[in-house]
Amino acid sequence: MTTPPDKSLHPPLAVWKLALLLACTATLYQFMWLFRTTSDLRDARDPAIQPWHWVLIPLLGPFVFVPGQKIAAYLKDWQVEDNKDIGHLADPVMVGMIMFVAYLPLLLLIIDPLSWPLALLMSWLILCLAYLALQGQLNLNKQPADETAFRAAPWRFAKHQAWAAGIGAIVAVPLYVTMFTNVRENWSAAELEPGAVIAAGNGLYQVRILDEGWSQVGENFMESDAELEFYGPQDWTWAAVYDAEGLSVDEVLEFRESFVRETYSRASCTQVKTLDDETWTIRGRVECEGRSPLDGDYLYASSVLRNEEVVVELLAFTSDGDSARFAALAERVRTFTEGLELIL
Amino acid sequence: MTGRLYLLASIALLATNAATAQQDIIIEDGVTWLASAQHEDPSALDPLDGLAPPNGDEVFDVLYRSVRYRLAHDTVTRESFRIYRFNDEESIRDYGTLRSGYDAASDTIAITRAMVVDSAGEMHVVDPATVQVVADDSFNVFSDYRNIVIPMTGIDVGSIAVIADVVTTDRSKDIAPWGAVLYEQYGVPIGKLDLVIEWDAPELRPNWNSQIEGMNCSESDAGALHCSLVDIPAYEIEVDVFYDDVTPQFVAAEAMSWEQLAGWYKPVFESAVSGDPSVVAKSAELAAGLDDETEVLRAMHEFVSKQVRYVGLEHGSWAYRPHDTATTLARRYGDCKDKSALLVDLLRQQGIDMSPVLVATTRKDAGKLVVPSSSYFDHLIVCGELGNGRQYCLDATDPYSGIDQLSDWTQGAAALHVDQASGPFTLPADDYSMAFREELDLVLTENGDLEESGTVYYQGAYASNIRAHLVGMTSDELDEWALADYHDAVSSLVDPEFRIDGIDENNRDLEVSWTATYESLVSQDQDLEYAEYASWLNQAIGFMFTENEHYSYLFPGLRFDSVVTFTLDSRWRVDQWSPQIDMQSRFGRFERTIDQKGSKVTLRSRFEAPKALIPVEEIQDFTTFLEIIQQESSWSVDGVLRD
Repeated sequence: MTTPPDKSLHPPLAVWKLALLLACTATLYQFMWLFRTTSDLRDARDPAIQPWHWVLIPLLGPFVFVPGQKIAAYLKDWQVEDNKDIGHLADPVMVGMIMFVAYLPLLLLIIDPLSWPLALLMSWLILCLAYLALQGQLNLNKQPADETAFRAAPWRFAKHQAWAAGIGAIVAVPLYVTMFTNVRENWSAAELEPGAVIAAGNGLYQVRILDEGWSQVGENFMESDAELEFYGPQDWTWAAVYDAEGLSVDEVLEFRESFVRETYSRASCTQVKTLDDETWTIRGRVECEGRSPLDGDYLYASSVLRNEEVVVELLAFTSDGDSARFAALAERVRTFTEGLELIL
Repeated sequence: MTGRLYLLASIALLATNAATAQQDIIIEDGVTWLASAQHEDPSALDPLDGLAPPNGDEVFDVLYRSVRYRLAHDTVTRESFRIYRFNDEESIRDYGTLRSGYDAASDTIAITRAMVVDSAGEMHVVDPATVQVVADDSFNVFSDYRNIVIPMTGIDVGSIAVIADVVTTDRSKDIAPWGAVLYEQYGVPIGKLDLVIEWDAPELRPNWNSQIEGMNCSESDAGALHCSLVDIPAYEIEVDVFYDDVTPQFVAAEAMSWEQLAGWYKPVFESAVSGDPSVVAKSAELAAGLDDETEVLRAMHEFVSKQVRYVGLEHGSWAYRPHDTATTLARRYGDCKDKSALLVDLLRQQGIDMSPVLVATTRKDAGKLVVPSSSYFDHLIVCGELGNGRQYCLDATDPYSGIDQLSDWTQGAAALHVDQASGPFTLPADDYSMAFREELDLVLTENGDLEESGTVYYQGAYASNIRAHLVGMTSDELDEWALADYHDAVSSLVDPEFRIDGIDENNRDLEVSWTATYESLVSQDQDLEYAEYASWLNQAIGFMFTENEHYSYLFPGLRFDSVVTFTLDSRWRVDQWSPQIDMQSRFGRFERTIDQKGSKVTLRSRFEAPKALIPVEEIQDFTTFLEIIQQESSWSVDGVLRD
């Protein structure tokens, strides 16, 4: 085995293998791929290229299309100058557009936060198309080269790829599992029947469903510290139950108002405490509402119950740009928060 | 068994022979110690034969009790027979001296048995020379009722005492219809109770009713009623109870309807309303310059309640009959009926017609008055309607209440209109026996001092009760009272300056105002976290808890209104404050709204829990309700230090 020359190129990487590596690593392999590809461009085209700088381009978000089309341009120049007879796969404009479009699915999150697994998956797939096109072009550009021009034998197994796949999988597998679970639990979540009761908190409290149009979603769906989460009758209507152990009702109400004001500083908030004389439970309520340019009318409604064993809060939110629609939603959100009950 | 009977008969014969050797002894006029009470008589214990002692572990039992009434045209005779058992030394100390009561004006009494059988079986007869006859007068009330106090002799633990007497009432000397009330339970358990009522003629047959479960009563054609009850436990002793309402009773009374009873009393009362010139003149004097009937009512009531003091001369028929109004006016004293008659007379001179109403102050449930009887009633007030259509009931013995409210002790009591052909009814009662409001201004100064100025306005019966306590105090004593109350309710950190208004004015609120400064109460260099209790409300709620476990609780009702303003120095900016409160329950409600304008936070609170009979099974919930209100009535304001 001969030692490759200092500026020898990385051996070609089969497109399918790149696709596999990106998939196995939840696209984390793109960082290594960028380093290797820009190293080749530096060695083959422009010594001024700094591969470590190019590794960071995924962090540019939708603006990745700028350096992305630059890589494609380097490859096109390389092809035009050295290999005029081979095919052309990665047009810079096309690559730039694909990379830009790759971020568009994330806009779905604004409309529907529950669609994050789908949005992320679509974004990855489109981004990977750009990388695969660039890799295909790179492979074509390297085709006329002598085997000795490569650092290792072309098309062979490379140890670093196995390491990358292994390490990347540490991140990728839990992520895929989460996405899968989320999709399975939430997208298949049936709408809860009015009157249904969902117990939680080791049997200390429950949520009685008082309205139609609500579905329960899995843990950590949107709130990592929520005990229960619900998806409401409209996209931007959701609710979550929190354990507020150690706090008084007043403290929870105060915290919730402060929390809302961090986002909506001019929200109009009211706090009130009521008494259930069957269970002698004190129910605290805080409602903050207002109108913002981004969300339209919004309402945070929170219901807090406390006894000697538990302090629990049911927080619900809705917003809508249409005031009439919002008014109806707001009532439904208020009704939903009334369903929080302590189990005595 | 036959042998025992023979032995007892022999002993009884010996005892009878011995008795013939004794003479009746006159203790004093109308009080006789019969010869039968002067010797040992084992047959006195005969009622215990075959009788199991009462259950329970009481230190003092009534093993047997019997009451026998005999109703004749001229007399009523009551034979009473009681057998007690003393189970420990303390019971001997507490109950070893027994009593028999009678009315010296109309009754004669004869003691027929007074002996003790000690634990060794030895008999001890009470020496009549040791017997005392004492008047049963209480402060400023004088009557002919007497108690014969009998120190029982030779009692040790396990002793049995027997006391028996016969009281004969001369009906010509007692103007009231005969009546008797017998309770199922007393403070001690009873092994057996026998009750007999006999009447000499059919027209003397009494009305009677027994609400006592398990009491067997049978009426014979021969003119007798026999009732019997065994193994009667003692009643449970609790504080917040009207025992006359909750204890089942046997009531018997001379046969008459409620209308007849009222008809009997009306002329008795009216005989005192003389329209004497002195009364006419006084009435004119009091009404001078007053055009409004309400003002006249107020003036007359104020005069009679405040300037005619309470002294009861209730000898003989004066136990029921008011003294002539001219006499009462001249004496400037009288009891409830004297003062009521005077008030009626004064008002009638001004064309305002009020009439007497008999009141049973210890009974709040008029439905329990099932047999028409004067025995229930112990008080008299007057009621009537003014030209404006408004009803008034006035207690002429209450110098601390205005005309808009009845005295606290008569509110809600069972009563009988003397002028109306109707049965018992319940007197009006305020929904809130304790009603008061608070105005409080709190100012937090730049250097962290809290300047407090406040006024508590006591209203209605609550004001009357406090007035009764405060009236006659010197200014120093008033300050001491107010300071102690403030320290108890609010804080002992400061000694405020007080002002008290309305002590002598029944028709307005009683006001207690104060100012105080709490120096350096908060740090001036830090954000503010100020919390405060609703101190006066908490104190009042503290009076409302009951420890009843066996009887329903008649909750007197509490209403509290409060306006608190809390003003921060410009050093702080108001940031957050307590939640509003809207707590509704079956016992009452508590509401609080909070407004903030600039540096001032205003809290308006109202607590309302109306008068109610809380069933014993609800008392725990009721206690929880009060505890929650005490806990939730606190409030807080947070301020952020300005840059």
